[in-house]
Amino acid sequence: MMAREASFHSLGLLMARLTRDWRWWLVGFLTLLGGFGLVWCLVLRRTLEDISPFFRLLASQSGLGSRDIESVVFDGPGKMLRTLIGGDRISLENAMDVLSIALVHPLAVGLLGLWAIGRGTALLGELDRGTLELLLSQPVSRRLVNLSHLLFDLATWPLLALALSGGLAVGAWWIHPIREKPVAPELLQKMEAAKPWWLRLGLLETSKPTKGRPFSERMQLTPPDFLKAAPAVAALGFALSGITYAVSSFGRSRIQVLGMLSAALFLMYLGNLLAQLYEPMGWVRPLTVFYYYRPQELVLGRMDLIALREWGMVHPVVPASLVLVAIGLAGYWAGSRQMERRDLPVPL
Amino acid sequence: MRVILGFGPARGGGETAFLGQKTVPAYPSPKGLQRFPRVPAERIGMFFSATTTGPARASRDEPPSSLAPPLVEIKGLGKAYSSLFGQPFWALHHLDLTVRPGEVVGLLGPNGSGKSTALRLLLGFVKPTCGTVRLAGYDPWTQGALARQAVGYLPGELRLYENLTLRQMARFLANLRGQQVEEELHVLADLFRLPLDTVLRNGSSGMRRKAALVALLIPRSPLLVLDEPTNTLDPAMRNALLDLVAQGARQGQAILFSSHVLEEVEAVCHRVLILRKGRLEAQWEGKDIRQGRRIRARLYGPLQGNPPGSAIGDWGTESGNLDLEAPEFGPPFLEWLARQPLTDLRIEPMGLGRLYQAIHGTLPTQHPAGEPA
Repeated sequence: MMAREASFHSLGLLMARLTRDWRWWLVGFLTLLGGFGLVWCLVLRRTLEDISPFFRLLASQSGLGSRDIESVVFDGPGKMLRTLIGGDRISLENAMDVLSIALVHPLAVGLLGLWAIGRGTALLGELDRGTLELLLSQPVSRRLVNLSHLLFDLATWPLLALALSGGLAVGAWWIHPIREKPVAPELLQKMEAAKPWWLRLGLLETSKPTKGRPFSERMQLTPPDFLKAAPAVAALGFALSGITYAVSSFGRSRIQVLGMLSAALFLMYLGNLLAQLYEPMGWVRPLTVFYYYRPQELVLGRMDLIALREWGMVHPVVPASLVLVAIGLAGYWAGSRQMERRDLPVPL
Repeated sequence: MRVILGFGPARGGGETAFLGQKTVPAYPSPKGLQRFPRVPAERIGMFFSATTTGPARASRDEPPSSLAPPLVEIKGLGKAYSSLFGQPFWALHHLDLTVRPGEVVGLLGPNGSGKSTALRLLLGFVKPTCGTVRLAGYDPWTQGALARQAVGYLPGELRLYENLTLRQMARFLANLRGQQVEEELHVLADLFRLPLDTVLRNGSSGMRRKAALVALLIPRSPLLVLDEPTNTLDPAMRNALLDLVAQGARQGQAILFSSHVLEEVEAVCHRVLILRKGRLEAQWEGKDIRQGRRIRARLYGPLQGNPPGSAIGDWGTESGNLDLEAPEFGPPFLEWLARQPLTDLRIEPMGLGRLYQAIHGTLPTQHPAGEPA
């Protein structure tokens, strides 16, 4: 009983030290992620209010629908852009869809990856600096040190995820409601002047109203829905830091492992992206952690279920976020096991 | 007897450091340098008495009680590092060692001799390839937290939480042991002339080394493991540390001490182990080291009998010179010397240096007693 109390006491001290060491970094990343979500909404407001009506006007004048325009823009090399913003499920006509792109934006994913790599290699950094040796010369077990890192990450990932999704929610609340701005009269005059004479005479009518839901409905925002993405964001981060923790537990130098992991995560991201463009490579996707990251599904009111169809499987259908959490736990388990068994090398 | 510990003005205008019962000459302090405040030695003594298990001892030559349970028990301990190609590399071969409360044991050897490996095995940082280690009765590899409850460790390459102040670091490390530190911290900070609230990163290497020492001494561990502890300490601080080590041993604290500096090992250790290429090459009792003498003499006649004990050296009479080392120098040797036809005699402490050199192959060849070289 006494030993257990001492362990809890030591665990609390270790957690407090981690919080102290990482507090400014944490504040910085929370600000960046939250700020990104907020700024994304403010920037996209102009797109939704000004540019979108203009494109719809163009489409209607040429007798095409918005979907037709999208299919032209996102065909060929543009397919990569479509993949980047979340795939076929995302429609640029809907404000919620457009704002949810922030969750899969390379900048947001990059920030999450950066924090994950930093945290996942933190223990290796302590080993490098020798402070781990100082810590382990005290009556503290390696298991407790590992546990403190796991708990710290379990506490911080939800915060980071809430910062990103909360930033989006606040931004959405800020820009709501989105009102369609009329196209500038000068622009309309120019368009009219550019028409062939037979169109100007109205002999042939090509303009037709766009199909689908009315503008006000498509621009409807429900800010709290962005918070639904937080579990997926946190799960991705946890999976990334679990993987980095596992890899770094075998390492000797933090710098080397940082470089290696950065390259590995970038390749995973790229692999997931390219495999969507080139279907024969589709089997690669489930091997990358980003395949299981589907926050937009949650925001848009769907379940983030996956069934590994790329591998010809239909069952089981499981929530992608749960897979990410399992990957993270497996990473931490493997890393902790290795850290408990390895010889501590002399600090560099 | 009240003993004052610290620097203070002595008669005659100089400065003298008083430490324990011993008076040691102090190095002149530069002008303007803050002087040590006087700290009663009994306050320092508390760092060594509270949790130690062995009986207090009077002198450094007095052997520690063999009845006290050993704090360190190492049997057949070895560590091999595997290599992809070729034979594994043995950093330490089958070491046997027991350290009891009140004992100061020195580990000597050149770089790569296995000193640090032995200490790291003892602390559970690396897994033994063979043999067993018991630290306060616990296996440091499988029961590390329990085993290290009894140990304070000062590594050779100093590593600290450099983003913390001494106060914060000492509190953190002591709290991990379930201890409060305030009083001890102030006493030791005064002793080592350390600021408590300066971030360690901003201090000199000497200051950081002292800060590590303070953090080491505060928990009053029954066993101190010191890996080259006097690195980067100035001479005054080195002397202070060695005196603290000796004082700790007198209070029953066990100390395992690795160093390159023979004089300091010789000064404080009850037992010295010499490692070479991972093997234990020799082991001496401190009193034997201090007892040994080197004798150089000129003779006007033939030698009267062989020297007593296991003398080493050259006592050929053809040159009329006598040059030998007597590890067991004492009254029988003096009596033997008195019988010799001496014209000149010089007796000096043999010291650890000669023994150490013998291990590393630079000492004169040993001859059986009575045979000329």
